[in-house]
Amino acid sequence: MKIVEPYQNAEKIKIIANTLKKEVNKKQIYRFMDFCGGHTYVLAKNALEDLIPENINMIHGPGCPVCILPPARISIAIKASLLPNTIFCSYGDVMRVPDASQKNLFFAKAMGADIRVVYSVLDALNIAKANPHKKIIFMAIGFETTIPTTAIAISEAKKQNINNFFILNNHVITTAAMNEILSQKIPLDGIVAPGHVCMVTGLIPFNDLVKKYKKPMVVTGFEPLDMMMAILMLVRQVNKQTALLENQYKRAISFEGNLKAQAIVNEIFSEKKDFNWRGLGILPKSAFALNHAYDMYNAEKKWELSETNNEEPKLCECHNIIKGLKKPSDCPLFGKVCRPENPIGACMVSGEGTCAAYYKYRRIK
Amino acid sequence: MDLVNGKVELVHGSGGRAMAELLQEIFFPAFDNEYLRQGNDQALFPVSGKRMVMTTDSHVISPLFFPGGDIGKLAVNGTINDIAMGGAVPLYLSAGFIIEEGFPLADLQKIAISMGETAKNAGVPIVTGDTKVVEKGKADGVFINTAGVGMLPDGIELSGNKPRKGDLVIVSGNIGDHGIAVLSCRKGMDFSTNVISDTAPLHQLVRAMIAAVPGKIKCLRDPTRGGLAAVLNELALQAKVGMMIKEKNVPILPEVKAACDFLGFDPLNLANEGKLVAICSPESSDTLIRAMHHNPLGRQAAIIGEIIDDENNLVHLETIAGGVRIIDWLYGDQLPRIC
Repeated sequence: MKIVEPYQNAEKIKIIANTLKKEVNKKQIYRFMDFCGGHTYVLAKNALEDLIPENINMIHGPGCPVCILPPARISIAIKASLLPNTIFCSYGDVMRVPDASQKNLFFAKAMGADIRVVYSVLDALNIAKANPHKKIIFMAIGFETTIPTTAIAISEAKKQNINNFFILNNHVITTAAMNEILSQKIPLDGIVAPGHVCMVTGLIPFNDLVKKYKKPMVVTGFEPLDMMMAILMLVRQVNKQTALLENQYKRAISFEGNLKAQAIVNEIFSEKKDFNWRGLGILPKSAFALNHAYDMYNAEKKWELSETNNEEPKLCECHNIIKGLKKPSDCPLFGKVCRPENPIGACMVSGEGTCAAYYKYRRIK
Repeated sequence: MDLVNGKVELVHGSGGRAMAELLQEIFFPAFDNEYLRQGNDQALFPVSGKRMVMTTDSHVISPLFFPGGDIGKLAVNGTINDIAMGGAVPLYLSAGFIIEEGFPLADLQKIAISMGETAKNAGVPIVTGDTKVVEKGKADGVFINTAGVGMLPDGIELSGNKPRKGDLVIVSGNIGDHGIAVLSCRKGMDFSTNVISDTAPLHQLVRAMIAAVPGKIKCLRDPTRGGLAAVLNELALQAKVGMMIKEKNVPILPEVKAACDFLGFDPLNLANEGKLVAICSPESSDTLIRAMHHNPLGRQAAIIGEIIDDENNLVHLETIAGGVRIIDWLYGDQLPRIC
């Protein structure tokens, strides 16, 4: 608490808000993408958009690992959870993601699957140790923030000879999606980049994008003051017409990142040829694959799980919303058929999705 | 709701919008009568010239024992509180047990003793009961249903449809303690915290409140499952008003806030078992708060917001940062987020 409290301070937030008001060029529209779902959540939960000048448009990007899971991956998860003698372990917010036929893991649970919500892959590993006669399949999802712990769990499983532990791998690469957004000529004046990803990867991959596309980028944390400061830093860059990578989250990030985490990830995973992202489609080199030496932990290979129906719902505007081309209220399904309890598209499934955040916190705006 | 092919899911029991749908579509039409239509946590009906209230509540909590309480204490306090929220004096309780084959007798005794002590201390005896045992695997340890009756003194008229613009919203103390205490020892979570459940009978606090400002309290609710967010939304809908709540005035223990930051939970959605929300006319609020502060269960009572006009019946929150967002009513349980 002592660490984050100063970054939730209302007075300091007001000071930044007033500075922003003074420094923005009133004739200009500033279009900034908060790439990460965690940042979208911080903006919405604290109602920060009420505090920033109206000519700053925050566009909420595709950085939510739950939202970007395509329907076929959910179908495979449902199949895996229903395998005999299986305990399927998942992070909580994957439970409601729908597949192409609008079924989800809650449906599998009602069908009799033993599904446990865990907070960490290491909990799943402990379940495997405690239940040696069952197979434990962990739904591994997330950007670079969660992949090191998945790698540690696999490495531990190997060391301790735990042979009933498997993963259903959906780990994806942040900069691949960011590259896709930046390459599409979407009108953007700057990007708020995810601090926790940079803690692992370091700043180099993000700096490469800044150089390639000449867009200002600020890496920041997840408290309201972090977010406000990042927006101010982007405004200053735009006003000065510079395009640099700046690190607002120095209290947590070093330039080279977490080398130990990078090493263990590289030992167990390598770049996959491509991955199909919900809303963005197939992106090259955008996900991690288990190295062949670790095939014995790969649930998909072990039980030949596959699924081809990857059809995303018609009328759903998620693919435009995550690129900032449309707002949730522009979607004919938003708040009507598509609601948190019955999510149709990617952005409604996780609490950090753009549509879910709008529905939960700002339905009337 | 798909009544032809649909199945009951866990979400239908979690006190959120899904459960409200289940009640509206299945139970209300099937049972329809004037007392049920009152829509409060307890039913009020006449018995030989007096007014009686009745309520019932089933408890299926896991784990059965948690910091600050157990399922038995919860079952007694929960039903006492449902009666007290109508302004009534709780008199007698019943207790029904559904026990899984193989459940340790020592645990059952521990629960029974805890219930007996809680009821005795509250002055509301358990006067009748029922016991059923089901095969192993057909229940999870023990499920307890309690029902209770009480009498509503003359002159007390509390109801969720009475709040009007300008009335103030009061909460009796720190929110979210019970939710965090139970989560901290749930299987697969195991984080350590000093937070203990707030489970407590609130009828004495209610009596003191009503005595302090007779006729000025519009309604009372206990923010149990679904938390403060659900209760405020229910009341806004029932009274056809909106609310403006100030985040900085909502009392929360720093430990609870820290656990919520870490887990990605909103304390407004966490369960409480010994707290109440009161809506009161503005001119009496100072007297009421003073009376609450004199009771051990109301020591941290605070005015957290006011009733406003809003045709959409939304509950608004002025955040600590100074913006305004809405407080939504969760559809089901909170799910931990991953990053």
